[in-house]
Amino acid sequence: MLLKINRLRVYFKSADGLVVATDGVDLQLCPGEILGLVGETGSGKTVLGLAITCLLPKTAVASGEVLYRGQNLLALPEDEMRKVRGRQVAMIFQNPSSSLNPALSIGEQIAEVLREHRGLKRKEARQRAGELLELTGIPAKWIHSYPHELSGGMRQRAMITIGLACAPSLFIADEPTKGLDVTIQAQVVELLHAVTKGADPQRSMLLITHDLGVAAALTDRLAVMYAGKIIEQGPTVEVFRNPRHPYTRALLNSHPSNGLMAVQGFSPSLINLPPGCSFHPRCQKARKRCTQDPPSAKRMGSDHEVRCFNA
Amino acid sequence: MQILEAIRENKLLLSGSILILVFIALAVLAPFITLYDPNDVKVEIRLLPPGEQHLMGTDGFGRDIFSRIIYGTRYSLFLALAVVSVNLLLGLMIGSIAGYFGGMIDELIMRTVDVLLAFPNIILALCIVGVLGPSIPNLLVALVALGWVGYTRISRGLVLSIKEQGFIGAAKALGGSNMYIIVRHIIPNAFPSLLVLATLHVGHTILSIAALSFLGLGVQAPTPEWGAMLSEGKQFIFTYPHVMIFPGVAITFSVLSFNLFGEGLRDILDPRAREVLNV
Repeated sequence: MLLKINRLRVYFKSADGLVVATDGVDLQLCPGEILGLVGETGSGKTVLGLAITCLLPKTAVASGEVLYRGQNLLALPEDEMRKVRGRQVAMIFQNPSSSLNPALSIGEQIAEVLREHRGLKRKEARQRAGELLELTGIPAKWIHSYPHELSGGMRQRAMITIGLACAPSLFIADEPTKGLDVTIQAQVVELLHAVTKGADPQRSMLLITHDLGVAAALTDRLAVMYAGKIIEQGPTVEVFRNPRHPYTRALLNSHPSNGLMAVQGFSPSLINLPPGCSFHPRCQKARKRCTQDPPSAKRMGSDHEVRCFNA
Repeated sequence: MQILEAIRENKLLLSGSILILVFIALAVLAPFITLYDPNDVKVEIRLLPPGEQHLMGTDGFGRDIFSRIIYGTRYSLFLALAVVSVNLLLGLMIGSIAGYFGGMIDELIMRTVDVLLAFPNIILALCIVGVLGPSIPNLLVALVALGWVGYTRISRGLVLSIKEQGFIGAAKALGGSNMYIIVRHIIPNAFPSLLVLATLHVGHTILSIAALSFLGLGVQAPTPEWGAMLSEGKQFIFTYPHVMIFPGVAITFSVLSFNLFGEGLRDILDPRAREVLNV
């Protein structure tokens, strides 16, 4: 097991009360596996990614365990954690145009990472940066371009190159296709496949997205998040063919190819979650029990878990 | 090459850089341009008006004013550049640390800066030189002692806004150390705005050096420094005005050249800095 998350709970203290961003999250990731984390905005996907890399803002309080190769990252001192980030676990964020430094050329930014982590000499690092750029489909002669000279898709490619420069075992990509044209999205999906399964069969990826199409194309397993909880997880094919949670079903029905059916109601405030199952106010199958007890994870088949009384 | 193009298109920058290049050339080539030793006293030809032999005339000791002005370029230009570079580097380093780490370090540094900002610049410089004794190194100390605070304040402000940007988070997510993030990500983004400020300060510093020398607390006689020359010439202001006019013109033009250059640079590098600098 490469990554094992146990009962991860992250909350923020705010003036209005506790904001519980993730609550009792259990997740597992095997070497070479691509796990998709889907859910709507504010469901806690990004916070989960930040918790794995221990980059949560200072106002956040995290409890539970994030075991990476058996080592609890949450308990690791900051300078130890810094050695894990980039080399072992690398995360790239949504919106590459703000994640790239406008004052440095992309070649320099890749070379910098190599020099910092790998201790390469300036010249070696620059050469390696060129090779890496070629691998991600950017001509090496563009090594001196600045981020503003690149298109959105190219920037995302550059960002992926930087993230993978030190060959991490776990790559966390937060909304890598956000804000890109559909054709460019397809290229980025292809690239993500190439740099994980294609380049190193042992490399795992946690793909955070709200694009079900991207998740379907790339992932082996899928976890659906709702209001800070993972309400369903299982093999991607299984979840798509046979969704057990009403929210997953609603989410799949909201996809244009399935009729663009909006999920009724609004996502709940994380400060004031409804009692019982957080989804019950929007669930057509809600019973009395759903409004009282929070459902625990129920096993459906070998590797499929659902948090729903009706499943 | 982009830089050359930008210089050609921007009239302020063009005129500023030409003037600065002329001053630098004069400073470097001084021995080849001048005919006389700047410190060569010849009482028999004192206070000659400008003429063929002595382009700008001679001063109260019979020294060639033209030679003294040319040699004076070295002192004014290089002292000012040294003071400004030290201030810029100190301010950038201290300000980045304050802005990046925040908390107690920030409070400590910024309250010190506030206290220092409350002192009138030239008066504190006068005190420092007065206590340490007038010499070129002490002049530098006096101008750096208060000079760094302005840069620190502005660097801190810039760093505060830069450190919230996405690429800083991205660098952290890839395991960048604090030192690496400050040096490679924050400073390159803060530097252009500070460079503009620094160029504009060069002119200001030339004036300060001249002022301190004029008061007898900077560069000492017989060194040919423009402020000191003004001071020596002030007794002849009504009788032989050329003794004072030429050093004055030299100061004016050198300050002007750096101001033109700085203004031009600001238009290119950082149009937004206008607000910051006007405060």
